Amino acid sequence: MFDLNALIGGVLIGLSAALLFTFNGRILGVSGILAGAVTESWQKLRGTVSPAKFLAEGYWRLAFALGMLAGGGVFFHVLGGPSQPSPVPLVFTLLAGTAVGFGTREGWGCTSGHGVCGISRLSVRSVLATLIYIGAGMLTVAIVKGVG
Amino acid sequence: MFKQVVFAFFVGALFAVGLGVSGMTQPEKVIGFLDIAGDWDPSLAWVMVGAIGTFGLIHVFVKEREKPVLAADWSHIPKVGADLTTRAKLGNVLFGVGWGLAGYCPGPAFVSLTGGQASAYAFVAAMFVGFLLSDGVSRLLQAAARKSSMSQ
Repeated sequence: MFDLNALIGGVLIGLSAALLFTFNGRILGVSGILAGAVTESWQKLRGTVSPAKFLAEGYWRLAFALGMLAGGGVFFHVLGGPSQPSPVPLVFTLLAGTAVGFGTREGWGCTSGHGVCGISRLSVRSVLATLIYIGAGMLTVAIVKGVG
Repeated sequence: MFKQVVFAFFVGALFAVGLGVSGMTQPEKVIGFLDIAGDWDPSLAWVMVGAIGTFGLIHVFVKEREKPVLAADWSHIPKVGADLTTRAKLGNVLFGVGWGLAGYCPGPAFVSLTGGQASAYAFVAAMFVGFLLSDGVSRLLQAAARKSSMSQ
């Protein structure tokens, strides 16, 4: 059962990872990029980060995050892409978000960092991490559907 | 440095379009992919095929370069390894649970802020709290480790 949009989207994702790697020498791991942007910016506001460090670590992450929003704007409002809510009640969305934020940092990455970049680089660490989070995801869906 | 910052912006935009086109920004599609025991929708597997196929191939050639095109060196690329700690594995489990529950992972949720969905806003806000909690836990553990090594 072939899905062309999924494949094309995947190629764009892989190309993005390749570009960030080749030009910026960085792994495209969204949890690391966003968390880094948040913590670096927070430290900049508090004055606890050196200008050199924020220059090296903060700006490109903020730029990437802004770029994601710009791209989102293009996808939803220029290309007319479908926008869909999460199907669970708000309290579960909040719990899920907290779990994802905490878990991706503890787990050293998410689907882009481990699933795309890590596996592409033949990282055993990332293959294992991916199997674990996909397995946990599948189990969770099975339980939720079983209970619901 | 400026070039890298500008470049990161455009890569972020391309990445977001890729996420949207792939279907990853549709929580029900993601949950369908994880619904292996029920109404399984395997189409998101093609996202992995496209992404890993593309980056995997390009990486083989690019990693031989002495340095990245814009950046000074490869120092920000972690060495590949097989060293996942128990704590990290638990993190992976927690991530998977949250992903399966809401159908969002970090990238798609963040991109979906521009789609106007309230659930995306709630998820991203909670995710940022999760990031800060993890950072806090790491700092606490580091401080505790320092104290115990000082008292020895």
